[in-house]
Amino acid sequence: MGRKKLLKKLGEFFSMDRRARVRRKEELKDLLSRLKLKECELLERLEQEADPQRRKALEGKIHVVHQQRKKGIGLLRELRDEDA
Amino acid sequence: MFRRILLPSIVIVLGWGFWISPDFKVIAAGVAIFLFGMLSLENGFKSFTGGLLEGILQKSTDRLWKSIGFGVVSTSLMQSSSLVSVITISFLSAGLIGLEQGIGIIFGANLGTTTGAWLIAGFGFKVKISAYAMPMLVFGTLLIFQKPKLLKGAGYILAGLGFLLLGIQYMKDGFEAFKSTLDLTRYSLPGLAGLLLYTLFGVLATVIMQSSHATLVLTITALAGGQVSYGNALALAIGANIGTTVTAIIGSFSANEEGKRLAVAHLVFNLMTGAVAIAFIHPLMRVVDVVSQWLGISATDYLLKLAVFHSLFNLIGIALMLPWIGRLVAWLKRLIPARQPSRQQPRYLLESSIGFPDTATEAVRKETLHLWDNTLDIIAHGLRLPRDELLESGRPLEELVARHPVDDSFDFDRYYEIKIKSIYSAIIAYISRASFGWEMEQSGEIHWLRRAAQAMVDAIKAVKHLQKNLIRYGHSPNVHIRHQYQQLRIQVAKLLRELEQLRQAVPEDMPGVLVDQLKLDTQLFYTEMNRNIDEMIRKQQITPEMATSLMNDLTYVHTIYQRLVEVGETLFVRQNRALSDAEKSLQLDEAELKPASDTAQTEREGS
Repeated sequence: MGRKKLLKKLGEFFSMDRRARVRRKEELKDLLSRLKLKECELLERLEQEADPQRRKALEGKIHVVHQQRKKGIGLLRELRDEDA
Repeated sequence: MFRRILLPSIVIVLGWGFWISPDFKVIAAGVAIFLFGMLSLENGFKSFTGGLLEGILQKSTDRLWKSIGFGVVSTSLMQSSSLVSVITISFLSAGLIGLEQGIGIIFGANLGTTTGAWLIAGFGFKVKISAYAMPMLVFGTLLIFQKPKLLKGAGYILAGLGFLLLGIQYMKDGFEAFKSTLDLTRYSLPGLAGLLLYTLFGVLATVIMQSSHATLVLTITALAGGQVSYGNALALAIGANIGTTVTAIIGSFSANEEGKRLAVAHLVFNLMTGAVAIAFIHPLMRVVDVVSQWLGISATDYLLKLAVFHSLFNLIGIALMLPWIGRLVAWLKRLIPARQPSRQQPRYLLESSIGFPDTATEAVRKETLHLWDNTLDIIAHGLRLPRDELLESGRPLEELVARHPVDDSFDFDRYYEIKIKSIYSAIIAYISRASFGWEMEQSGEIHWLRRAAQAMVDAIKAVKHLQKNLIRYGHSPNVHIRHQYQQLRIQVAKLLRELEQLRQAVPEDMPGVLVDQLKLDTQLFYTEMNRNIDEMIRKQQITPEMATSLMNDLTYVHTIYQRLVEVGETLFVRQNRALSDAEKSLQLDEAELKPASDTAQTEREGS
């Protein structure tokens, strides 16, 4: 392990704030990938759905998932900016 | 009367003692510093609560042997069996653990507390322990002034240990000096009379100091100073073991029946162990000699032999009681029968848990869920739909609503008084007493739980107002208005079903998305209903009077939606420990949802 990497790891270990940020980033990344999968799955279901009422409900769900993803991406970007 | 004269009497006796003997002053100061150290240690361990303790507790008490192990380890670390038993009672009262697990912890705590005797007898008298106390106090105090919670907690623990050691040193010094002026061994009694008298002394000293540990340290230091005989010291140790149950008994006064059962179990265990030790004191002393010899302890090292005795008789107590634990539980349940759980009374808000932020927060969370259960009940009644059919049958809501017409048979106010108000008031009272001075994290959780309880009451009141016109227009000859009110009933019923699904959702179901979906539905429904009303007025399908009633009632339904979704978000997303903080942070507010709902609306209008 290089000196820079070692120093970074040590810094992360000793800084509670930074450790919390790293954990939060990991959680967000995992969540965003799950949301993306969910959105794709809902879009597929929408394509196959013919009933207008059910289509409406699916569209609502897709919007919510999409908005949450958008918010999550923004939060992740903020965390990355703080680290930079 | 007794309470009023107790404190002045103690002050007078201590003052008189300080006047006639400076050595007694040193010993008393030692006890005071020791007890202060224990308080500091307790404070320190409290700082480490916040989910951590609960998590450890749940994992380490699922088997009886694990419960005993947990009792041993936690008491060895905290050096206070009283603290462990009081915490156990509060966990038990809050429903975090069962009675059998609680008894296991108490048994273990009795064994764990003997580590103190080993530490003091084996370590405290071979080195000058105040030399270790000083750096601990300095570093501890330094850490106490730090901002992060964990560092502060570590500081309290370190300072607490420092004070414990310093207190022991003072007691040791005091007894050594005391030895030259007064010989207490002159008062020692031989035989059973002496054994019983010194056992009683041990009980009294522990009751007064509220710490068997302090009594034991005092006994060991007195034994080291030659102030008590070895036999009398053993009796004092037995007495200390019995006296320590007083703290748990006091702690159980405010606990529920489970807590009281545990306190009785503690008393029974320690009394039985004490009785066995007294009855078989001579064979036990011989066993102590054999074990000591086996451990390489010299025959005249009475300090370590006392520690051996203390561990041995507690171990024998556990071995004797363990096979009877099932019967003990059954007997305790008969002795202290459970009150029939009632929806009217708070179930989890107990005095014994108010001092422990983690347990108190959990108690408020469980009580809020209890209130939620009653809220579902009253709203289902308000809609005149049987709760079980509504939430469990999965039958189409249109069919359910048609089968159960609205009548005025339900006394809403009475139901509210009995099932909601008492619990809601208890939650508010408990929070206002417990929240003061808490850590921010817990206060934050409590804030959301209080808001959730308030939101439930708002929703219930809106249902109450809605009822009037549900009855009035539910039987109207005007088919349009009747249909609209039926729709309102269906919407609220649908919401209750969805919230029940949310309650049962696992993390894979993404409860956060479900809640935001409900928020979006609220907005869409409100807009659509308003448009329907406009259309009906335009087409003169309903009278202006009907229209204004419907508009008001739509506002009530909107309130019910908003408040209940808020409750769902708090109880099943924010307070859901299985969800990550990241998931909770993605919850959308009204402004963030708006573009989605607008788009959905636009798309719907376009189709």
